[in-house]
Amino acid sequence: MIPPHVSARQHLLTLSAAALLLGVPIVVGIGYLVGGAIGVSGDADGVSLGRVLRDGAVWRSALLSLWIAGAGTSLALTGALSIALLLGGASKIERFARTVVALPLPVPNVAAAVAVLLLLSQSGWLSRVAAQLHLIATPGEFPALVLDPWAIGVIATVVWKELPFLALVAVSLQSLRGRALTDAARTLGASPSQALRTITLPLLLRGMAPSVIAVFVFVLGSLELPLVLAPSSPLALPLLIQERRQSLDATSHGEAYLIALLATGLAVFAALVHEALRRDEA
Amino acid sequence: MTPRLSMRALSVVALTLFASAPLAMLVVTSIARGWFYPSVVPSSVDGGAWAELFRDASHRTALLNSVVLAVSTALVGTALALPLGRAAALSTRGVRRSVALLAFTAVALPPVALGAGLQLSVLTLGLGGTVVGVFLAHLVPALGYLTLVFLGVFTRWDLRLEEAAATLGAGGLERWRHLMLPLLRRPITEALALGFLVSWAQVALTLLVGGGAVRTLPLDVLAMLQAGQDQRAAAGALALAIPALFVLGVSRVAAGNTPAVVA
Amino acid sequence: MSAALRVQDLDVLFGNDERPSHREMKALILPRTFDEPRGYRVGLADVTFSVNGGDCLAVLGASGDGKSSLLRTLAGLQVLRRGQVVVNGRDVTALPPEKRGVVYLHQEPVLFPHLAVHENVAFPLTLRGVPKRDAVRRGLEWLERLQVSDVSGNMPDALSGGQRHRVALARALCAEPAVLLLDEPLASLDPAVRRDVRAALLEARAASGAAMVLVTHDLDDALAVATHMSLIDWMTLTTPREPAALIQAPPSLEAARLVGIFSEITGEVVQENGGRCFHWIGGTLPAGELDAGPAVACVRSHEVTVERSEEIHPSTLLITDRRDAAHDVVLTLCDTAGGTVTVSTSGNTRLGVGDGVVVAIAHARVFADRGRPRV
Repeated sequence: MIPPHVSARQHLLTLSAAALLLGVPIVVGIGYLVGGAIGVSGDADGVSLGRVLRDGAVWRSALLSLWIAGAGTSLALTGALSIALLLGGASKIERFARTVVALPLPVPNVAAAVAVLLLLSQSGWLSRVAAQLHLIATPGEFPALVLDPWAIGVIATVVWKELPFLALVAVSLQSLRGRALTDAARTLGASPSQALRTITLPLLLRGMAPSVIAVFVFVLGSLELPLVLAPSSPLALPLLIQERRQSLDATSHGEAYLIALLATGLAVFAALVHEALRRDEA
Repeated sequence: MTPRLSMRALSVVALTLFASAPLAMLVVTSIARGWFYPSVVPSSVDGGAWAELFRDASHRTALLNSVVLAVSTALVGTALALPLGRAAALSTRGVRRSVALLAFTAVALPPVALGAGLQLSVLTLGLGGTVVGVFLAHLVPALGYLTLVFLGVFTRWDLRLEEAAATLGAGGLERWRHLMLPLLRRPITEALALGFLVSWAQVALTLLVGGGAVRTLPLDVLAMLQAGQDQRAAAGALALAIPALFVLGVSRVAAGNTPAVVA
Repeated sequence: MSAALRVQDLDVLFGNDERPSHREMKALILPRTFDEPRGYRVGLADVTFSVNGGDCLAVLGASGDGKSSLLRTLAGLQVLRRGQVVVNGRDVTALPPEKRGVVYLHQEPVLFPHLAVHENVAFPLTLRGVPKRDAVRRGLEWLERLQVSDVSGNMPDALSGGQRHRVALARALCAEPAVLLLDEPLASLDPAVRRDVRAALLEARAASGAAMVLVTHDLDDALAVATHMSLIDWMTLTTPREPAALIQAPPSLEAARLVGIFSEITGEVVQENGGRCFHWIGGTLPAGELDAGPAVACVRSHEVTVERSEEIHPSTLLITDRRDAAHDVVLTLCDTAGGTVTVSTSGNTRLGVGDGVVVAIAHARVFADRGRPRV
C-alpha cells in the first residue's frame, strides 16, 4: 500500500530505479556469461553443454564444492541450534557466551582462512602442540587437515565463520517466539524433551531454512576459502572456473563461462527456494 | 554446582576458545620472531611484520583502495538501498517478492560467475582495471544485502507514524529529518557496517573486475600467503579483521541506545 | 465430594517478562517453593479456594492484579513461593506442567503454526502414544462438538479469530484435563465473536466435566460462564460465592468497583447517639458497624430516586449536569456549599439542569474508603 502522502509517480520512479539498479548488473552479467559460453563475447569459443557435462573434472569439482558447503553448513547449523537451546537465556554467562561466539561474524574470509591455516597446517600450532606432547615426531606425521582431500580445513573455517551468523538467527527466532508455544505444549502434557522434539526444533528449523540456504550458497560460491585451504585436485568449483578462464585456450574460456552459467543457475534456483521458504514463514 | 551447570560452564569455555583461538593465533604469529617448530610459543616478539605492512608503498595503496572502496560502497549502497527497500516494501506483494528475489540473487550469485560477467561489461564501459569499475562491482552484492535489510525494516514499518506526522503538519523533508531518520538510526548504522564489510572482505570481484591492477588488502594477504610469508600474512589478516570487528562493534554501540521501533 | 481443584494458602509471584534465568527454568521444570526468587515479587497472597468438576470459578480482577500469574502458577508454568495445589486429591505443587492434569489456555490462542488444525488438536493424545489415526479421530470429535470440524485440514494461520479460540479449546479438551484454566478468553474479541466463544465455553464446561477457572476483568464475561465468582481484593482472592450474591453484596469498596455497576457517593461515617451514620451532601444513610471516617456508599441506579423539590431545605441539591446513558440518566448534583456528587438513576427522567431536587436512596452498601491498595 502506497502511503497517501507519497505520490504514485514518485513511488513508481523509485521502484523502476530499484529494478534497474539491482536487475541490470545481474542481467548484463548473465548475458555476458551466455555470450561467452556460445562464443560471441570475450575471447572465448562457444562450447556445447554436453562437452562440459561429460567432463569428469567438472563433476569432481562440483562434488567437492557441494561436500564443503553441505558439511560446513550442517555442522554450523548443529552448533547454532545447540547454542540457541543451551545458551539462549538471559543470564549473564549466557549473554557473554553469545557475545564471544559472535566474534568471527565480521572477520573477512581471507583473514579466517589465514588463521585456520596457521592453526591446522602440518607445521601449524596444533601440530606443534602434538609434537611437544610427543604424539608426533615430525610435522609430516601430523594428519593433513588443510589442502586435504576431505577439505577439513575449509569446513572448519566455514563452521567458525558461519556458526555465529546461524546462532544469531536461531537465538533471535527463539526469543521472538517467546515461551507461549512451549508453555502451551507443556500444559497439554508434553515433557521438556517432547516439547523440544515436537515444537521447538521443528519451528526453529523451519524458521532457519532461508538462512541455512543462504549460508550454503555463500560457501558454494566462495573463492578465497578453497584457494587457501582446499586441495588442488580436484579444484573447488569457483577455482575451476578461474583456472579455465586464465587458460590460454579459447575453448577453456568458453567452458569457464558455461560452468559459471551453471553455477549461476544453481544460485538462482537457491534464491527461488529461499524466497519460497521466506514467504512460507511470513 | 550441579552437573548440568558445570557442563554449561565447560561449553562456555569451549565456545570462547573456539571463537577466539584463530584470532589469537593471528596476533601471536604477526608479532612472533624466530618461532621455530616445534615451539608452542615464540621465543621473542617484534613488530617487524606490522611495520612492513604500513611502510611498503604498494601495501599502503592496497589499504587505501580497500578503505575507499568499503566506505563508498557502504555510503552509496545504503543511500540507494533505503529508498529501494522502502518503495518495494510499500508496493504490492508481487513487486515486493520480485525485488526480494532479485536482491537475494545478487547476493547468492557465485562472485566468480558474477565477476566473469561483470568483467566483460565493465571492460565495455572502459572501466576495466579501475577502482571505479571495482566499486561498481562491489556495489552489486552490497546493494543486494542492504535492499534485503531495508525491505525487512519497511515491511514491519508502521505507516501510521508518518501519517500522524503528516497530519501534524510535517512536510516530506521534515518527516525524514524528525521522524524517519531518528527511527531508522539503528538499521542505517547496521546497513553502513554491512555495506562496509561486504566490500572490505571481497576477493573474487576485485580480482576479476580489477584484473590485478586494483590491489586491495585481501588480495595482498593472499599474495603474501602464496609467497610463504606467514608472519606478514598474519599481520595483514589482522589488519583485515580488526577494522571489521571495530565497524561491527561501533555500529552496535551507535545503534544500542536507540528505540527498537522497527527492528 | 472432594473438589477437582483445591488451592491452599498459595502465594503467587509476579513474574518478570524477560525469559527466566536458568535457575528459574530448572525450578519450572520441577517447581519448588522459593523464598526470594530474584526478579519476582509477591502479587497475591494466601490464595485459598476450591472448584468442583463441572463448575467454573470466575476470578474478577483489574488489569495488573496478577490474574495471569495466578493461572500460570496453578499450571506449573511459574515459580511459586508458598502454598499447595491439589488436583483430584493429588498434590501437584511440585510436579512439572505436563504431569498435573491441568491445561492452561493463553489469552490469545496459541496454536502450533507448523501443525494443521487436526494435528494441533490431536497433539496431546499423540504425546501419550495414542496412534495418530485414533488421536485425529478423537480430535475431530471435539472439533465437531465445538463446530469447527470444517477447518480441520487448514493451517492455523488461515483461521479467523473465533475459529482459533475454538480450536485451542478443542485441543485443551482433547487432553482430558481435570482442570481447565482460561486466561481472559473473551477479552479483545469483537461482540459477535465474543458471543460465539462464550457459547463454545459453555459447551466445553458441559461436555468435559473439568473444573474451570476463568480470570477476567469483565463482569459480563464472568457471569456468562461462571457458576462461582471470586474477586481479587487487596492482593488476595475473596471467598468464591454465587455470582448473584456477590453482585448484590460485594465485600469491599474495591470489590464493588470491580463489579462496576455502582454509582459512588462519597461522604463520612459519623458516630451519633444510638449508632453510626453515613453523611453525604444529600442526606444520611445507616452505616452499620463501620468505624468513623471517610467512606463511600455504592448504589445501583434503580435504588436511586430523584424528585423535584419546590422548597429549599438543607438536603436540597441543584442539578448542574445531565447526561443520558442507554438505560439511565447520570446527574451531577451540587449543594450550596459547593460539594458535588454524580449519581445514576433509572427513575424520573424529566429533570433538567437548574432544577432543585431531593435524592432518596432505597438501599446502599457503605464501605470505609481505605484508599488505593499498594501493590
